[in-house]
Amino acid sequence: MNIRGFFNFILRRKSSKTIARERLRHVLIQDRAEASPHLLELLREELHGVISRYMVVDSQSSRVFLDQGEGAALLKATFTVKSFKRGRDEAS
Amino acid sequence: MGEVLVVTSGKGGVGKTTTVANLGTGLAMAGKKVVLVDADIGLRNLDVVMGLENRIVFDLVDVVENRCRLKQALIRDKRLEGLFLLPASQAKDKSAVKPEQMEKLCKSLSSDYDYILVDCPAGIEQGFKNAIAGADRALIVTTPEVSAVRDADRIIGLLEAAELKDPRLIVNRLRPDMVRRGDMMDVEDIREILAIELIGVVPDDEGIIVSTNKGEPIVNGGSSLAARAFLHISRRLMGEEIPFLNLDRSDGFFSRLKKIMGMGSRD
Repeated sequence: MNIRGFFNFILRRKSSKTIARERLRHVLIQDRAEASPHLLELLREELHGVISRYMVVDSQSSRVFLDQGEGAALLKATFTVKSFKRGRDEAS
Repeated sequence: MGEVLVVTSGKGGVGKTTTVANLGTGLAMAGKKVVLVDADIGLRNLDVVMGLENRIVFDLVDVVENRCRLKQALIRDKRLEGLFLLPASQAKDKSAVKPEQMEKLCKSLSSDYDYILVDCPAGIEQGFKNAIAGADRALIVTTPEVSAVRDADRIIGLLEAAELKDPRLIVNRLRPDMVRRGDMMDVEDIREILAIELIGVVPDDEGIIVSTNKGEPIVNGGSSLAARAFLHISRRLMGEEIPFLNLDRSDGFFSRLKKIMGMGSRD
């Protein structure tokens, strides 16, 4: 770390290079998701399959999407739970 | 059979044409038979960068529309024996050529030449689709800026969808002094984000503008870092393994000490 880097560290200031890198990472996650909505749909279907092994969820209302987080993109998934599969532990 | 390489970037103004001119010249200097194809129909520029603008009689669209034979449209370079240019048409637009026609053209060129370098227009529309149609391999040029890297990522996705696998990355216009100050993304940042293999890094160099002014590619007799970087890339294209240049010229003891103390010289 050089003197400039040291001061940036003390002042908790990000270098413009770090800002560029973070902005780029963020925008690319969204670009890549947008470029293939197909991918998110595939993910939703697979997640639905996995979750269905443990509980009964509503397929119609489920959603998988990307959201803005603090300094990173967040993958969010919502599934409406209709009921739990009781006795799942014993069955497996 | 020659190899068809497309040089692309998504964003305009990152140095595609300069890259094509210098890599082609570098390959021809190594004794290869090379043809440069300007696929930027309507906005031709490769002829000016090569200094061949006064010799154009026929162009790519004339060839595709059978108004002349392929050989008649090829312009021989001023200095190098094995180097030729197929200029773009300035009057037409991108829709004048279809991908199948480009593919056919590249195929017929590859029987006579070792390397066919296609200068792709900016953007992701018809011109891009034409330029990549006949390509065996792709080189992606980017600069260390958010917008250029973002567009490069989009291009990588589109190349993948077109089944042009394993593109190589050229980071152009790097400023080692700015990287050192923490004001420019470094090559490793870009390479990691784009997740493709690097084939070369070209430092920002005023000499490029001077060489473009004169219409002489910088690799021709130039000993600058940019000229060496382009020459190294052309040798890597031929399969040679060459270590990457140290663009940070200050690597003696004192300059390293200065760098540690944050007083690195600007170069």
